[in-house]
Amino acid sequence: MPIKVCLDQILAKRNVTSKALAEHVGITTANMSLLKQGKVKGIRFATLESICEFLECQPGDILIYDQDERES
Amino acid sequence: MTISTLSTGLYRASWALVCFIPASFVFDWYLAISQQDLNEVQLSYEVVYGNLELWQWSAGVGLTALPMLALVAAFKYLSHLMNEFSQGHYFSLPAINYLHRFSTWLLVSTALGIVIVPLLSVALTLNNPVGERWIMVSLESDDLYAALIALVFFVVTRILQEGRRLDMENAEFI
Repeated sequence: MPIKVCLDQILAKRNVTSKALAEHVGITTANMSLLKQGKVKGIRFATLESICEFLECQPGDILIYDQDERES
Repeated sequence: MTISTLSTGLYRASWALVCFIPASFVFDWYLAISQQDLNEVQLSYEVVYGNLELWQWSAGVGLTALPMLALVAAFKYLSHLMNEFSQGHYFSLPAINYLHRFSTWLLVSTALGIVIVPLLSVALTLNNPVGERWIMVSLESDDLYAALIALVFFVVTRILQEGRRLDMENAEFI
């Protein structure tokens, strides 16, 4: 899928653990792990909003569109 | 009233019917045989009871048992379905399978109820004097209602399958 989830980089930059983010968003660490790996079908606006609020970032910082992936 | 409460009540009612229907069947046939009166089992043929042989009574019991057993099977699966619902498993695979089996057995029971009528009439009146033997074909509005209800449950099964697909898809969204 050409949509990539860049949570790992943001979490590292903010020095925040996945567990802390999962607790704030209200999802399990297992689901957070799936989200980080991009192994989910979609993300709800409410989840995205909660992540952006906690990490003080924009949706575009978390999700990127990879043109090369589409072409390959 | 919550779905769980209603489902639990229907679960118990279904099990009560699973026990009551065969018991009622046995009791009615016991009365029919002991009193030599087929009206006890809702069969209104003019039968010469003195001519009835054991195999004819057996055929009567056996044939009428078929739709009854199919109905019992339907209620058994209905009770399993209600048990699933009472636990909140509305779109689980077992729930869908139970609903499918319930509607299938309900339809089978209705179809058997229609099919056995001519067979029963021939079996029970075969030893009547010539000119008094019956072959009866019957299709009552109750049979059509039951068939319609069974078909509606088939549609509900399809809706549940679609609901399960959406439920699984929803689970893949974070």
